Amino acid sequence: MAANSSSSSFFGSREDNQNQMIQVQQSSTATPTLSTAPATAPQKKKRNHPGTSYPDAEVIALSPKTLMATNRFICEVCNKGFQREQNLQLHRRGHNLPWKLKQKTTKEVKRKVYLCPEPTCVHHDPSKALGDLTGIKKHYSRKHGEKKWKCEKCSKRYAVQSDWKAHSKTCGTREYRCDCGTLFSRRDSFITHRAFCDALAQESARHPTNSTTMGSHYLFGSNHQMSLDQNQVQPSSNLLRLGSTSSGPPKFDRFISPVNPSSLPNMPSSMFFMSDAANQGFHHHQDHGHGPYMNKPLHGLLQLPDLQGSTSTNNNNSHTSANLFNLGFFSNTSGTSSISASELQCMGDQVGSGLSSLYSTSMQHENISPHMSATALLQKAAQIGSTTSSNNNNNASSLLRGLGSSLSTGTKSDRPVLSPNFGSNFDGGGSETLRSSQMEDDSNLQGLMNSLANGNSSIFDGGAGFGGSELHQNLAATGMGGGSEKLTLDFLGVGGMMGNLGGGFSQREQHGINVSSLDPDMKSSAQANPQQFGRAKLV
Amino acid sequence: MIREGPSIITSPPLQFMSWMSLSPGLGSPFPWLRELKSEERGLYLIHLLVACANHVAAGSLENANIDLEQISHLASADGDTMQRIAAYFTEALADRVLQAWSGLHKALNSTKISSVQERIHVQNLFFELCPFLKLAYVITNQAIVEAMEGEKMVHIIDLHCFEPAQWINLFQTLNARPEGPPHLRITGIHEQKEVLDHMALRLTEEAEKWDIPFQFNPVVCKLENLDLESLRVKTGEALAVSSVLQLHSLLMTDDEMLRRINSPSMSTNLNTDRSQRVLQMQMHQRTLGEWLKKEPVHVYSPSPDLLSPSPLSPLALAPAPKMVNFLSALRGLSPKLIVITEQESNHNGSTLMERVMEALNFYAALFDCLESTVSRAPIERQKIEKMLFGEEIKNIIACEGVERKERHEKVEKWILRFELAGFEKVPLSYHGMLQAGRLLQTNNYDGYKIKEDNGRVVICWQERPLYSMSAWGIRP
Repeated sequence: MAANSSSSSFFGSREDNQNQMIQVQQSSTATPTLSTAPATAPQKKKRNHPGTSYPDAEVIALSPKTLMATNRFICEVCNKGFQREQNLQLHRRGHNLPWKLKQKTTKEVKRKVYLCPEPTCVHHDPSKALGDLTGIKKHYSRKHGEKKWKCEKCSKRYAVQSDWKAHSKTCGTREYRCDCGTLFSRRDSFITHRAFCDALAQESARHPTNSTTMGSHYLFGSNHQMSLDQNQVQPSSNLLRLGSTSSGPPKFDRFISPVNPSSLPNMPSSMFFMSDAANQGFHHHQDHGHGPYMNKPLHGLLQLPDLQGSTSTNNNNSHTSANLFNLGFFSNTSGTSSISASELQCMGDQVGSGLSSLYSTSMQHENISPHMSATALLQKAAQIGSTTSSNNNNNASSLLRGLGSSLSTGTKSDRPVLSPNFGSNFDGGGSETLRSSQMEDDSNLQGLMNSLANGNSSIFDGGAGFGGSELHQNLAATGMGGGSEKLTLDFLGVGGMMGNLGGGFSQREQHGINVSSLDPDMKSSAQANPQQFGRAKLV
Repeated sequence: MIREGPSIITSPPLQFMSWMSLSPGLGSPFPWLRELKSEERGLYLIHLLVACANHVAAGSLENANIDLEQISHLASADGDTMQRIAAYFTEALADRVLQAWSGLHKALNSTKISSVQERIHVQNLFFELCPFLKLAYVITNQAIVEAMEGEKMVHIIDLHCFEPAQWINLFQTLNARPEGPPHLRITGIHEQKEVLDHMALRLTEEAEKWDIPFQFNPVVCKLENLDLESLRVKTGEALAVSSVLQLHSLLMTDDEMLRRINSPSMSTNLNTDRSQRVLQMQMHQRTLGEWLKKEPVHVYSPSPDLLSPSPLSPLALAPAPKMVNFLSALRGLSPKLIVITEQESNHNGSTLMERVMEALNFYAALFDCLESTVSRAPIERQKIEKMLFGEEIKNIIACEGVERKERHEKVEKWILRFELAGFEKVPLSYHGMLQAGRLLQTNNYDGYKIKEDNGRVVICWQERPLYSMSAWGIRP
């Protein structure tokens, strides 16, 4: 009975206590500060009512030890600690000790407010006391206590276990990541960052705006009967699209960048050819259908200026070359001298000359591939140097073999391959002998020739003036045998390179010059090749 | 792809052979050279440049001459980027070769009219057309404002004071301070008096507008002759130093003399006064060679913390006595903040080829950047290229010893130097970077990036770092 009643009362009281505590907590959350004086302490959470809620509350100041004591209630028999008095009382029953449970008091419970024992703390002031024991305990731990709990994911530390638990639930669950890679947990800081970071990241991420494919559509009709390679189809469409976007130089560059430089000069010519409906005199690699097809693209070309409707001065459909002019100007909106403008101009002027104009405009060629920035060129050069190309079947390589690369023997293999950051493998210029530099010359020579022959339109074939095959035959005829193996090619940097490239004249001459100075050395070198091309002695 | 070139030089074998025996000095430009497309020509140029540099470094001047001849057919100050770069580099290489004949060199340079006006104009162009200086100023100013929070008296020493806009920007920010602007004193250093006069005028005018108590002290002298003591830094004022692309000139040193001193034969002369002085100056930096030799170390027993950098550290610093003195004098002034902007590239290598390679990469990026940014003003661009970059390239490649002033170094080395001198790193603020980013955005500068790395800022062009900024304060 007593037990029952006590248990019920126990529950009751416990509940009451809990209610009390909840009430207190609620009121503490509802009111800004529970202070005896009408002062408001600055608190983090937003409170509704400033001012004292319990002006007659009892102010309790506990020592830090007492505050932090986890078990304030100790059983005198077994020294077991309890956090709540009720629990201790229950425990005392087990010892057959007199126990007493607090009843719910009929009179109004006196409010208690607590002070933070830390003297420097705001809440040390009775006017700024906190109303909840748990609250003051947590406050004390958070502010003045040691942070014993650590989040595993991030490295945030917490003094209060409940804080730590709450954090680890949300840590990493919701995060914002900017394009630049920075992580944010808060939305507002993320947005602020992104506003500025976007600016920084925009340039690199910008894509050239693509208008419709009307360019290609009109130009080539719906049929790609022009048996231009895909390469060439694209550049023209790009170019035409370029006109429609009226972009600045960088975009222009980006447009052109995927284009194979070799094909580009061809493209305008193809446009020219197509526009030149009447003149079928040039049957080049484009064995496109003539007559009917020509008109269509022509028409398309003519239509283009109207569509663009921009800077074109003459919109008449009189002559295609004029329209080509416009076309060129469209892509030239940035004002930089562009390929198409110069090329089209040339071709527009010389209706019958076809590609000759293309090739005779020498120095304008520099603008043909503006995409090749100097840094890109340097990287490419370094790449060429570091790749060991072994295309022995190439015309160029056989050419080179005939060239007298006898010097480049196996000694090359131990030479360090140039890294892209070339300069690192360098051992100061003075240390190399001329002879070794000669050796490297030739293998570098080969490498350069090979890679250039592979990568781009080789200088050998095509308008460079000397058919590679021709050259090859010549060399073969003169009995230049003596293959040398492909060796590591460090294109740049290692050997003192003589000029080599292209049709190879200068290189041979260079060769001759250098070699002549080294002749005695060379003769003693590994292979006894017959005097080669380049060995013509200089005067 | 078969292309039928119109002007095919159908050369029968005989003709072909005869070309072979032609001496290179014939001078007739090979037609095929012109028909090289720009990419191939560019690659060829790089190739030739490196070859030429090699020969110059090795001293084989004949071969170098041949290379130069070759290059001359292809390079051009009016051509595309690579051609222009090649033009300036070959000019530098040629200049270097010529210095072997000092009489010739002097004679050729004797009647050169170096127009001061032009040089000043070019510096202004560089400021206006490229964003680098603007970015540097913005970030510097933000750093200064943050460091000088709460200071009432601020003294700024500007090691190269030529652009009023730099400090006008600071006036604006200082005026907006909650505690009001401080009493501001700026000491501007420049070689030309007229520049400083102009600065004084503009700055005092602007300071009045912004209601800032301001005083400008011009100091007309070269940086290497600057005596920091004479700057009259008052006690009680907070000192900030701004150095934009200037400090590297203090790294110049008489390489020859130092090399001679480091040679083993000198170890016996350790007691001579001269070597003593030099070695003492070098106590703060060690090259790998010196560490390995060990003798000087033992004799002069440098302080323990100087011994702590590992002898095999890859960041061995080139000895620079002037820099050491300057930094220690600076340290003596107890500055609150030093902000230094420098080119992010190693142009202070001891061998020519090292420098050529690094310079090629660096200036290629710079030329590309210039090309893209200043594309509509080719004359201005050429001026900047020729008179600013070209001169730097010439200095890097052709000059040695105390003549070589453009001794750019990467930021890691600067960090070492400053730390050895007793400074502590001050991280540059994110806010400053934001402002810089905004500047780029509003002025439509494309392709630039501002990166932050551990408190330092690096301004990049298309991923290639070009300029680095770092800030330093006194170790407490």
